[in-house]
Amino acid sequence: MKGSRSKYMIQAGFLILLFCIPLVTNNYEQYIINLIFVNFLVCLGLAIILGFSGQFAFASAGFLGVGAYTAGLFMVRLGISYWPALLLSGFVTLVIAVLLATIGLRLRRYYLAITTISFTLCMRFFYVNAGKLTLGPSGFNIPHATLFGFNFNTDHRVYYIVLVVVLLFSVLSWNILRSKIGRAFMAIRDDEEAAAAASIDVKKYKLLAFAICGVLGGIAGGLYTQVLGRITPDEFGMLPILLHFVIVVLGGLGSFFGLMIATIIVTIIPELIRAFVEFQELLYGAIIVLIILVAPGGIYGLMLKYSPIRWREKLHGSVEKYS
Amino acid sequence: MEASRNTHSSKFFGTDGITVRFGGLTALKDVSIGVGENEIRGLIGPNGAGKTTFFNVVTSYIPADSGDIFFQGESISHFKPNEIAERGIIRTFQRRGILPDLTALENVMTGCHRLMGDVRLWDICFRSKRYKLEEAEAIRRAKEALESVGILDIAEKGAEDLAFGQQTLVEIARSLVSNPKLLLLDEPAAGLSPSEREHLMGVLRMIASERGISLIIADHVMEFVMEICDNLTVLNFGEVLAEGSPTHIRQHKGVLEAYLGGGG
Repeated sequence: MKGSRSKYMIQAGFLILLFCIPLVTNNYEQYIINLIFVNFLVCLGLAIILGFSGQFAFASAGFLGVGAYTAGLFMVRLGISYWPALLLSGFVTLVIAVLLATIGLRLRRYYLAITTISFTLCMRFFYVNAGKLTLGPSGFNIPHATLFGFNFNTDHRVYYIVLVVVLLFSVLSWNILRSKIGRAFMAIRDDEEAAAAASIDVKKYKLLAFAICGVLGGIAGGLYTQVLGRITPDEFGMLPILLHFVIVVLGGLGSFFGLMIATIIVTIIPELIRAFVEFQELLYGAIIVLIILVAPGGIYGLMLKYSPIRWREKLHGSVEKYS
Repeated sequence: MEASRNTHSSKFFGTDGITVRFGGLTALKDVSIGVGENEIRGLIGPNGAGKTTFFNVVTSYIPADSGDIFFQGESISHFKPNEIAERGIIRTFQRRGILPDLTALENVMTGCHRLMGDVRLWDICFRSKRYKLEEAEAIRRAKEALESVGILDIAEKGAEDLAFGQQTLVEIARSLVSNPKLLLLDEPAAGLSPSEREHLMGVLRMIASERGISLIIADHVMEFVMEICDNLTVLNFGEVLAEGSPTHIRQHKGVLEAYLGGGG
């Protein structure tokens, strides 16, 4: 009992710390932190579908785009306020993810990867060329969110939207992953036949993984509109596909904690080398090669290997809580 | 012939004239097997005789080209693998179908899946009371299953760190936890030490006698199968070569030839 109490204290302290971040940051730093949170949410979606359920689906950047454009267009075209637009971005992306999954479930490995990457790139072409609907290649500005007259017009204010929403969806995802659904995902990833033998409906859970990835990507897209203030089709092309993949691989496929650290590292790096921004893709590629050579398990793998604490029991020992 | 088919379909579990072809190769040819309740049936035969193929057909991983499968009077040949598992036919794998990243206990908990029907996504997302109760129940069942196969002490260990013999037991515990009616075990004794084999035999006898579960055991290890099974079915090149009690099979001429390569 004492252990769980100190655990709650640590969690509460961590939360307070998160809420205090804007007190010590300037605008630019705050913008980067906002970006980290949004990246974390969308990469969580990719980690769930790729790392936990083992499907080679690289649609997270596509879902991010659908979410951002849904929220943005509903606000700009129909003038509805941000909050319902954010919900709609999650919902519309969910629908698109399920549609994509109906094709995706028939495909495996490289074919699924190619199909989902094509989906992302097709959506980008759509944003560029369907100018009458999407306002074309130069994108558009997004109005600020307001709540009871309070205008979220600075990076520091936007942070609180991002923080609350990302925390909420992270907790929900964490709960899902540490339940029978998470076990079913990992069972399917490790051995589809054995999973079916344990009476797990493989298709249903693969579809569910797509749906979760879609919702997280869509909501992240909705948040993205407020973080960036302006969206353009280029935000949702090949580069973010790579970016999300690098983060998930660096974190260690299928680990929550590794993903957090990886998101921070990979989001900050391009900002440190601003002068060489053309080399970003090269850098991402190099990181992937390096991880595969040096630490195939990513940050999570290194934690398992070198940490004095037995992380496996800590991270996967989901069961001691209720027994 | 027709008459014997009818007797199989009325049994607890039976197949009627199962035939499977892989291209030009006939992996199973007109295989009809009937297994009664509480029976321990051995499925033996040389390598490539079709033992694993038989399991794959019964659990619907590969379709039969012809023939039918019955379980408790119902034809199950058109069901999907998970639907067959839901009806209580659970299989294990020769390569050990354990999930390396999960602990032994969590591995066994995946077997509870079919019993965990009431919890909705909502319950899981918000950790409702119903979810906690069900999760606790799954843990209780999983621990019970681990205990009944004698490996409760390794419950919290990662499954990939376990010895092969322990992995076998984890897989059997996972099968047990869902209250199956028929277990199909693919080479459970392969790669086990004599003492592990002895332990496994005790576990399997307990499963059959105390829990009333029927078993079909495909294995190479002769003394293991001979000792534990009530009846044996011998497959050779995809056909049923002989059927009967272990003593009967031991003296069967065709079986001896198939195994010793009698060149007949």
